[in-house]
Amino acid sequence: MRASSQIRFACHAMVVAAGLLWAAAPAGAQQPIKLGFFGPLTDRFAALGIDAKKGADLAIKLANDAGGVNGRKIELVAYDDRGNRTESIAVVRKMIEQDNVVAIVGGSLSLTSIASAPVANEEKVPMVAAYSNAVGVVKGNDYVFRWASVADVQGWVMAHHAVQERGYKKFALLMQDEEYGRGIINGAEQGLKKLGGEVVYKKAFPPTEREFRAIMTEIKALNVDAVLMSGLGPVLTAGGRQGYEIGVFPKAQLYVGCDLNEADWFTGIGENGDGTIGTLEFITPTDNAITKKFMADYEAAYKEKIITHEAGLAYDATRLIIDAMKRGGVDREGIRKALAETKSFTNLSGVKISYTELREPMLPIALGRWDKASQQIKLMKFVEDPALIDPRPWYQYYK
Amino acid sequence: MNATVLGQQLVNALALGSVYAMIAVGLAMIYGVLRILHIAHAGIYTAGAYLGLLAFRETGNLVIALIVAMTAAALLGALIERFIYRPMLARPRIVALIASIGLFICLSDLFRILAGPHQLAFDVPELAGRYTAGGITVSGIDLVILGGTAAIFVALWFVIRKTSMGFAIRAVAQDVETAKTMGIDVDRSVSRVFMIGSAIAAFGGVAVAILYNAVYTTMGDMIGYKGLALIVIGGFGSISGAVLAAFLLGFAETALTTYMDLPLSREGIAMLMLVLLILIRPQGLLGKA
Repeated sequence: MRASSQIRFACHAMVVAAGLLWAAAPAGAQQPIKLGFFGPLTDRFAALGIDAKKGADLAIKLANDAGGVNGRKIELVAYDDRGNRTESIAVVRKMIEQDNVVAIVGGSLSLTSIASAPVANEEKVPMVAAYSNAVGVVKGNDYVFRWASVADVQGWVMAHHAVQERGYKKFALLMQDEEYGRGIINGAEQGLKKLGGEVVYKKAFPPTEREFRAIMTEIKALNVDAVLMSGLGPVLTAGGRQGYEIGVFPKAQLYVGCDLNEADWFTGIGENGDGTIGTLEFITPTDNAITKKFMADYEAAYKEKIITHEAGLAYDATRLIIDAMKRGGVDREGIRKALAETKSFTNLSGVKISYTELREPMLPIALGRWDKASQQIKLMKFVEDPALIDPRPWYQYYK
Repeated sequence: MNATVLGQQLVNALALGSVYAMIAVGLAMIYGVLRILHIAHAGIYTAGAYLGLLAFRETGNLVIALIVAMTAAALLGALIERFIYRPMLARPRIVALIASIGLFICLSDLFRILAGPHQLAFDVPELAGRYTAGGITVSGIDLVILGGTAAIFVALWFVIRKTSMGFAIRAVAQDVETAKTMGIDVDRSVSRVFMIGSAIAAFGGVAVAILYNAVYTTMGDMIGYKGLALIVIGGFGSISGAVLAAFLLGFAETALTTYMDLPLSREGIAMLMLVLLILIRPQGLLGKA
């Protein structure tokens, strides 16, 4: 045998040996399963994305500690989209094409998720939008699921509670002017129209707004029964605080969306805000053992007691994908199929949730009330009536 | 609209105008002496809020917090002038403008890294009180903003008009070369302008942080853009013009966002005012043609 043949033979032997070693290696030595994540980790909306990533990281850590998926560890491949539509498209494309992720946890805003969801859909990569509430994120994208309520549902639940249970008649609507905020106010407006509530004031404002005194002064003069407001945490905090200072609240009832559950509200509302009602997708604390364990795990991991909207929803969305991997396998199509077949997944508040055919969850809304004394959101009740929480009727408003 | 609501809106507009004036005056002064659009001024305003909060948490005393914030901001302003702008003065002004934008972005990221992404509360219980007269409510922080702005502008007027330092600053603003031939230390005057403007911006940052009970990394963004619009509206480099423009903007925003359903944000209103004024009076309200 010539020298070159000997070298070739040795090389082939090494390749075969390496292959045998790889096949015989314990499961833990296998390549990790790559799960994509994108969200605003820097810039204006960084707090939201960073909290969402905390939730996703914790879910993965707990899953890996428990043995991963059939012995394979899960790895979160996280990218910063800076809350920017163009950037979100770029990072989602990157994680699909270069990192070869099997699924994506959307830890981003409605506006960025709407931009990037079609990319995941075209590439047939299942994506679960953790906290994006705008219909456009999921609608028309067969591989995109949501683990939050449709924004309009929150507005509808607010309107229903205000009219049917409190007997309020006269309303002011304050709308953060982007997809999420518009959705909540659309739900509220349609609901009030249906139930006979009168809207005497409506005002839109940008997500950067912090100055509500002029608006609150005007609302005060109208003697409304309730103000229904959409917006991100800092906006709700500023509006709530200034409304109390001007004297609109608590005479009028303040209703806000799920972003009541933001660190900004907890730290910023101060002596104001008592009695504000929020439409939440989960609530902590509860007496449920699942909630208690989650809160203990979260506090142990991050030394923080406040479980923000984004952290909690991203935690559950990530657990849902991991659960789908276990049920459907770790390939993209298997995960998509398993997600679509989800019938009874327990969220961190201990509520069982199933998916509709539109890949939207039938998610009970937790009506929570801000309690100034304990500086906590207290559970009033879970709204579970399908006529109130069904996301499907709201699709008609988004062509 | 009844008189009470109108009165309340006037108070709201005055407080808003005062806040804008505190950022615009520094920008106008700096433009006046260096002809630089100092975008990073909004970063100093934010730095003032963070430094004030830090000092307040340590001491529990708002006066000390204001002194610390204003002093530190003044030093920061002087450092920026000395080490960033001064070496660039021989180059076209666009170079300094780009450096300023870069510095502002860096400062925002620095705040996020040091203080975290969430907004921080700046709660001063002593200022939480509300005073109502004739149905018009004024909060403690409103009084601090209105009183502080008035005191600062009286002091500024005195310094600029009645002291040798102010004379030097005015001379530099009018003509640098002539000021040099008159024996004025131009570098020192410019440095002082940065210190004064930065200290006023820091006062504004602390006041706004208390007003909204929030300190956050991007709090300077919008007010920074508005500040630039205001110095153009006021007349490039005109301090009194910038102050006048700030109050006009406060009133315009309050009136337009409240009583007209314009599909415009507050920033949009400021920019609309800017465009209209440039068309009608290109030199600005108090600028020279």
